[in-house]
Amino acid sequence: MQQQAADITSFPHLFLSGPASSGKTSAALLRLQQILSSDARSTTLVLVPQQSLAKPYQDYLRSSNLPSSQQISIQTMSSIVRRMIALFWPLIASRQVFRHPFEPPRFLTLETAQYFMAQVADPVIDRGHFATITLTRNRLFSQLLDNLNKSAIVGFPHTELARRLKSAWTGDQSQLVVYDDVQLAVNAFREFCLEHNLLDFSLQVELFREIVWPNETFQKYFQNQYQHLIYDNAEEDPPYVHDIVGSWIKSLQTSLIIMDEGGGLRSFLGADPASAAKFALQADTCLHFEQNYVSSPPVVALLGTMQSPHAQKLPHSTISQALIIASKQPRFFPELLQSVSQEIADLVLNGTPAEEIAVLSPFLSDPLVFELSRRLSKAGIPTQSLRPSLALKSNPHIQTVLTLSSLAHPDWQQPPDLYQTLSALSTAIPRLDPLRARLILEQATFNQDVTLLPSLVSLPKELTERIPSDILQQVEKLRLWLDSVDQNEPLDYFISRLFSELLTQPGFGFSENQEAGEHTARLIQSYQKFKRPLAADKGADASYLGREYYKALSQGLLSALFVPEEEVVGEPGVLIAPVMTFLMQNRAVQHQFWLNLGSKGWYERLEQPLTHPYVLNRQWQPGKKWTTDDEIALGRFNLERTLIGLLRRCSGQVHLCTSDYGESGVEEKGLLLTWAQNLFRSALREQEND
Amino acid sequence: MTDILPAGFVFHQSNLQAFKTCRFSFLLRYIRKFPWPAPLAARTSTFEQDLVAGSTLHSLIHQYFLGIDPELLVSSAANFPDARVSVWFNNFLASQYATLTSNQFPEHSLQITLDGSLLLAKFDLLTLNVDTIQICDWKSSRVIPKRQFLQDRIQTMVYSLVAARAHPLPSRSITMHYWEAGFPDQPIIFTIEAAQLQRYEETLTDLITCIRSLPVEQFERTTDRKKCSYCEYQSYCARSGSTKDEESFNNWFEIGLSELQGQTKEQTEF
Repeated sequence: MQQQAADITSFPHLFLSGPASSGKTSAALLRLQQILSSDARSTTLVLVPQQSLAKPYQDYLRSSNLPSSQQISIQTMSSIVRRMIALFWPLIASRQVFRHPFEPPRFLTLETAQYFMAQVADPVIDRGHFATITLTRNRLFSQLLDNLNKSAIVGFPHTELARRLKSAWTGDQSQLVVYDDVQLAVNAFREFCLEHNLLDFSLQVELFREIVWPNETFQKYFQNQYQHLIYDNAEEDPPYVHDIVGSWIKSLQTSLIIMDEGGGLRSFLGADPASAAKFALQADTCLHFEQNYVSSPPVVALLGTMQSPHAQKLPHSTISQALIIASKQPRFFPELLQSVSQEIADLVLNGTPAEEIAVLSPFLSDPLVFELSRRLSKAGIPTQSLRPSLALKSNPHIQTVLTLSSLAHPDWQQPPDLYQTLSALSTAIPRLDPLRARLILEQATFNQDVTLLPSLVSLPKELTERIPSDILQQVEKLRLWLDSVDQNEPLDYFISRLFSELLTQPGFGFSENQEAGEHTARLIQSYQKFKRPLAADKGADASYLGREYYKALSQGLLSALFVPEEEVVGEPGVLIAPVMTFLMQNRAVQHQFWLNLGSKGWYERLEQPLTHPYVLNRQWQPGKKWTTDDEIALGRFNLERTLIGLLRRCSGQVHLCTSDYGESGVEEKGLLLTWAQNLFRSALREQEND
Repeated sequence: MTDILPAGFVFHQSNLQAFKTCRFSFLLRYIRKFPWPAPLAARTSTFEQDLVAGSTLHSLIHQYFLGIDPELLVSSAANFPDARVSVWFNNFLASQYATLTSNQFPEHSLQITLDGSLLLAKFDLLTLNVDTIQICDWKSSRVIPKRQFLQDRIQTMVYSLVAARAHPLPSRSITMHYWEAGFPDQPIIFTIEAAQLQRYEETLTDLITCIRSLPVEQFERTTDRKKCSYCEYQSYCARSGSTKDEESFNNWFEIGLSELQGQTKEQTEF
């Protein structure tokens, strides 16, 4: 079957579907090899919905050492959209969509879009709109942007948002006013973007669909770029990507569209498997893979009963080979972590490679990752955690640089508090312990705020006697350096000097500290991204930009409320990851440890009172109401899809890990726990009856 | 051979030039991919502005060769905040290089295998004629570079060799045109004959073989501290404040420009 899928001559336009672990991507790699060997001068676009799904193709590219590897381009549609808008910007300018069409576009990231949304929505909120909503402003802004994005990727005018949301609402009538407020804010934001040449993601998609893609000059260019297409995990992309690819396929020499049947994991982000399934109608040939190449026989048996309600019940012995439960359930969560660590250590001791073990939970808290990593590391087992990036300001090195920045810029009028300064001072000067740092800072603290560091001469004698003089000299050196700062120096220049002239000098906290360098470089990069769309504004001088950046970070606008990028921490080893992140890695492991079984996070969607991913969807029937029954059905569907997805990526066993009291300290009884309990109870009953 | 390079490593003019300038900076930037705060204040105040202006000129010329109406491009250039861009683009339109033909490939990438290693070049404009291959490289320097400086650059060697080997026709000669937008009437042109190409191939092969053979400890810091003056790792090596040097400026400017234009990235973008 895989050879068949690789045959570009017999099947130039192929649609390949099947569940996870059925060898679809392996077939795509074989096909890629065939394209390269038969047509070395052509270019193949490998299109994937997100970076993690590109890994097999990147690995192939790196390991094959092909002379023509330049002829494979691995991209997401969002990256194509952004690059093509930049390249064909004069075409957009000619359509006079923007107030200043010939000025350069100012691309917004998710974070800078939130910053500008705040500029627009803050006055709206202050006028009394959104009064019944209790969300933090940042979550409110991100949901407003999410609405705009949904209108663009699904393909309806953003001016219809309120009408669509209202038409599906069945609850309290006061919510209808909230949807009107949503419409008001998104309309104002779109106007603001058109006025200032700002391009958030939604506007990028709209401009690409409506102006760039249909343009003849663009089409001539784009058709020349690629001759072959491999589009993997099409079900994880929104319908606008399917529309674009669908209108393009026939002008390609060959195309392979791959769809994972159990996918659509990113539905809350607009993924639309039903829309992707329509590619089957355009293909010359459709192939379906069914074989599961990964899961162990007991897991395959379990999958069989889950997918077929009329299948025979499984004996207890089979279930307990697929799903492992502890003989004695621990009472508290820390005890559970201890037993999980012990189980993992035993597995590794008995020859299981650490990379073949994954610890999965719907959400990953810092204490969970820390405690598990600590315990496993104590046993000599490496761990790797994979989760959304932490907010910049929660990193101690970055926090230190930011605190010193605010001390050096009194005109920002955002002085750090005592505790923040205390921590920064102890990090910048490691030999200064927090207690002594506090004694020094108390000399210059007013209302818990620190506006400057006290000078050495101003410190009382009884204090200077308690602190070694070389440390005092370091504090004085830091003070003098901060005092000498030019208030009009760009923040990135300031940080780069603070780093190299002071913090990396012998005796200071970043000296010979590689991690501190990486974190500071990340902060500089974040500021540079932030200032790019703002810098063209009149009056946006260095001082203004620095102040706005600091304010946005402090308010959490630039934090990782919803950052799609994931941060990999640690070397390859036992993987600790959120369930959804693991599934989107599309890799299998021998042992999966499922934590927080009682949590509703396994299936419930996030609370989003200002938007609705299932109503703002192309498959939603206009006029239909979203009811409690829909919500319950969605939860069950999500859980089933997640469980099947995990089991298909398990080549050994699943370890169900639960304690009387969950991570949050309360007894939780979610659907997953109930499912597992029922499964075992019913099997035991059958066994007893037999 | 100790080869510490990852599988599929692609050599290009920027990383080879970086190796020639300082082996340690090559190790940090291209093998370890080590982020480190660049010494922004050590760079001239116009460094960033020049980078953006240079990159915008490249985009405008690229758009011109894609067939976008030149009038739209002139309006775009005129609205760009840095007035030099408009002047440069008008200089380009008035130059011999603005003649459109059907055998031109703007922003075109080619990759060859050289003694088992991958070597990439991304040309600003490649024109394939029956008897010649013309390579054009657009520059936006404040001061026109010396001919000798360009002749000895790794870029001249890599571009000519990749173009010649990717389009092998024995009778074709290669011309490499460095066109300075601020000095439109003074293009610096090199005609590269077969014997010269052979020497380039040997030089580049030797250089790549050397990189592949070095153990990690032999990726040493340069002994010429002037080369550190614009290097982003100068504080990592405790070499901040080195005397400013034109060559160091050019090297880091070229790296910045190529990265801004995505020229040296892997063929992967998300």
